[in-house]
Amino acid sequence: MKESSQQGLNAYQLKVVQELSQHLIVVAGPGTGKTLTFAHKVANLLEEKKISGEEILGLTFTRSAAQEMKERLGRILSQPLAKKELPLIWINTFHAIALRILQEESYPFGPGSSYSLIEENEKRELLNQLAPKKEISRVLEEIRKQKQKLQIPQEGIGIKYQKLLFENKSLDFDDLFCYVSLLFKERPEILEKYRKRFSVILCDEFQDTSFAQYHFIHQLVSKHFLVFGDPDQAIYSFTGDFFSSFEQFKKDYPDHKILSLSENYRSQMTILEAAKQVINKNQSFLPRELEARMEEGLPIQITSYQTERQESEMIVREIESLLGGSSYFSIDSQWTKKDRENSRYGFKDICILYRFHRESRLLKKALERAGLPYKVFEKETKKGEVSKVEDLQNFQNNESGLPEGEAITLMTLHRSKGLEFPVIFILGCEEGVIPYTSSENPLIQSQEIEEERRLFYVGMTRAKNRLFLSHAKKRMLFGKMLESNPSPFLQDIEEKLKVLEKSKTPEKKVSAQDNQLSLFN
Amino acid sequence: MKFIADLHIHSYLSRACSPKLKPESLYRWCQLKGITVLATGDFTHPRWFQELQEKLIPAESGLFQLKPDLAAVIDKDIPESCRAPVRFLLGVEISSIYKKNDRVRKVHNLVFAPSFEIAGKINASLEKIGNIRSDGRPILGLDSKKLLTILLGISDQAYLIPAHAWTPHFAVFGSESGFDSLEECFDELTPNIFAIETGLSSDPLMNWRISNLDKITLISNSDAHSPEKLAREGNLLDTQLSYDGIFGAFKRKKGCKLLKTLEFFPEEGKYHVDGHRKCKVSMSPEETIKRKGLCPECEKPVTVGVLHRIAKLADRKNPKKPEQAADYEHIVPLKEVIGQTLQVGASSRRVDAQYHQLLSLFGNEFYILRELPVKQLEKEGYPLLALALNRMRQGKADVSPGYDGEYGVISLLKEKDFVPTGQLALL
Repeated sequence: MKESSQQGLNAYQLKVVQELSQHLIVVAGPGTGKTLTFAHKVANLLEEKKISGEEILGLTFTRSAAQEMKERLGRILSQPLAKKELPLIWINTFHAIALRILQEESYPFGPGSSYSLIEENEKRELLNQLAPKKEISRVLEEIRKQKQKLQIPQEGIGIKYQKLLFENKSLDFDDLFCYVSLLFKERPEILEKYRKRFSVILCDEFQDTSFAQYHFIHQLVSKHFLVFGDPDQAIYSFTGDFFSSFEQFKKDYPDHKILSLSENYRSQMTILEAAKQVINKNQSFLPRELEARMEEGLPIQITSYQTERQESEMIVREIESLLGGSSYFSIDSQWTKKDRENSRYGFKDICILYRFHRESRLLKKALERAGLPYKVFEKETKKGEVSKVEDLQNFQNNESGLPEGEAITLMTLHRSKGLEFPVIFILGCEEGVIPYTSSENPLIQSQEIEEERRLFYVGMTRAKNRLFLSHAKKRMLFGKMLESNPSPFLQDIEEKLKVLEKSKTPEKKVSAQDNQLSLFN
Repeated sequence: MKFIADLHIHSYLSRACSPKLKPESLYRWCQLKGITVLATGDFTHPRWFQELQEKLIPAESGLFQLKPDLAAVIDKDIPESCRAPVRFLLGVEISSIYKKNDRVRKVHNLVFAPSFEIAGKINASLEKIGNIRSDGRPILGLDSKKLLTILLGISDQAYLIPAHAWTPHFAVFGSESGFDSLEECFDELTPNIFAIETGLSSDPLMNWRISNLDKITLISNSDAHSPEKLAREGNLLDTQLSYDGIFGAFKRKKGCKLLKTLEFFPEEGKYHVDGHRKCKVSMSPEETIKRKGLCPECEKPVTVGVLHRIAKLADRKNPKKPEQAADYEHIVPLKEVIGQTLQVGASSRRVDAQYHQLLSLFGNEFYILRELPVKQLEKEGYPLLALALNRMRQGKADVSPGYDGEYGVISLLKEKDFVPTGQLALL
């Protein structure tokens, strides 16, 4: 047995790599080395089990995750093996795999056709011809929901839209699984061909597998089906109806085995413990085992502000302090604590998370005023559209031929999945924002609360060294002035793990008299 | 021809800078100070870039001058004794904050361009990488080496010179977030670095302890944040009055010469020795080493100054002047010297009045500081000033060195100098 493919794995990870069960659930909490284990598992199949790369199908949530997986495999495998087997393995996103099958089978447009996948804005353009402007969003949503149930629209605007798509030889993202499903139904021999081919199917980020994706993959399973994921990090399940891929898996493969990766190497102990305290309020149907392997670290800083303006200004100051000062100005005005702990951080080590992009408006202005570089991951990742978004970003970066500058990252909690940063800020930790309750539907269901809690948990567990949580009493959001209390999730964190701070610079100066009054109150 | 150039200043669009930093007042102050060529600073800022294009016209190759109608208005108020041509050169300081080899680096670099066209191209590239609109000295998350790569791709006349190379917080050799060598920062592109700016807290003598810098030209500029601070330091050149003439001198080309740099006494700089400003603790490098780098007041690490940092990187015990290196000369800003003779602060109104009086009488500040015969000053009734300038020119001063952002104090006069000569005899 060659050591190379298993060096540096812990006992839990090694167990997964060597496990022989046909149907396996690997529960991988945040920072437990899921990607590493996944890659070693594939390497083990190739090296030890002598399975050909052709027989392996790997599914990832994003294109960059697929890329990273291939690169890791390239490093783990011996050179000749990598050269021979890697090109044969299919590792890609659900969408890319579905598209590849459609292309190989020339379906539904027939041989010699090129496929174009259309974006959200292009969908809107098409619908412009079919529906009044204010109806478009509703129609789109309706079509999307139908397709997520693997139904291609058969009537109304939907069928007209489908016709237009067909004429342009284009598909939208939801079409991919509908057409593959149709293909397999019409031509069972094709389904059989793929079932025979793939003796091992591995799926990453399984918790975020949609009904359509699950159906697609479930059809292809003939022998081994190994799923990696964390039900506590499922943040895309609320798209009209909840679908739990893990529960479905347990039903469909009753002989399954469950293993956990439970050593977290990412977050300092304080951060991980706090995150666990938050998520433990959720029910669980799979074992929840997570142990910190890093040092204790600094407590989580929770700060309350009067207004969102104050919140954003103070986040910028905190960042300047973390950078050890970004200009003479900030050093001279002694904003920076001369703390060696701090000056380790650069722009790219810092990420600011929020529930909605709209919450970042004032923050961006404050960053601009301070002259600090930042980049925003703009697009909301609707379930399944991640791959295309990333394609676009890669393209844009390379287009100018210029090197990239480092920047502070701004993104939604949703977008942060799978990423890690030494420093995380989560702003807007307010009741009604995290967890979000819309004004039309103020009574939040327990399922929704659980989803919001998972979202917050995902955000917290992105942090390696420092976690800053903040909330503002007043915030403009969706055209309304909200006056909110701190998020109830903050109360789930026990006192010893956090420092609570009230902002020291009230927006309006309080007169001495007011101060005295407040002392008596 | 011989002239003085100051190639590092800022405009009113840089953070914490005077609103008076406009082309007109720069033109005025260059004449009062005796500067022939001044870098504009801040050319990456769209508003400054536009203002420069509106107010300057081409002069000698790569240099610009204020439009004659704008100049005429200013000239009226400039004493005859100081009037002289002024040229501008396009320059900017860029703050790069980035990680290299797993450490945070904060490096300020000067960038120069020979034309608005090339400066415009630089701006267009940097605009795509970061925010150049909020600060005249933009903060970019861009590796210094990558910045240099961009410049090289745009023009072989676009240059990068590391700014105030030794200051602790924002410099290529800075103790807090710099590098130990130019090579560590610029890798294979290092041969494109032909000069560094020594900064206020170091002078050539200190730099001559590092053999790696023998081939590097040491230049000095004011880094002025207000017009009055122009020419605190400068470069005396003997070369063609042109962009290529100046950089040719820095590159040690034939026929172009950097004669000497005009320097602060390095002890006057804000970061000469080690210490903690908040704790009012100043320490020599030896003390710092003895105390294991910790402040005796707060027990936290002190800010390591330039003297210490140079000693750490030096490979020579004693400085050795490289063959082709320029000379240097220590100066103290004239207003500070006047303040000392009047025993008031340099920013007092009396000092200002006497300053302008002297300029009308004798000529620009550099002339008074460096060339005016002291006899003449004595004759005109400024015996203390004559004494102080004489000591400055001989390098005789009492110094209390700067540390951790606190300027040092240079005393040219002693208490007994203020006692009338007759009384002195009695003592």
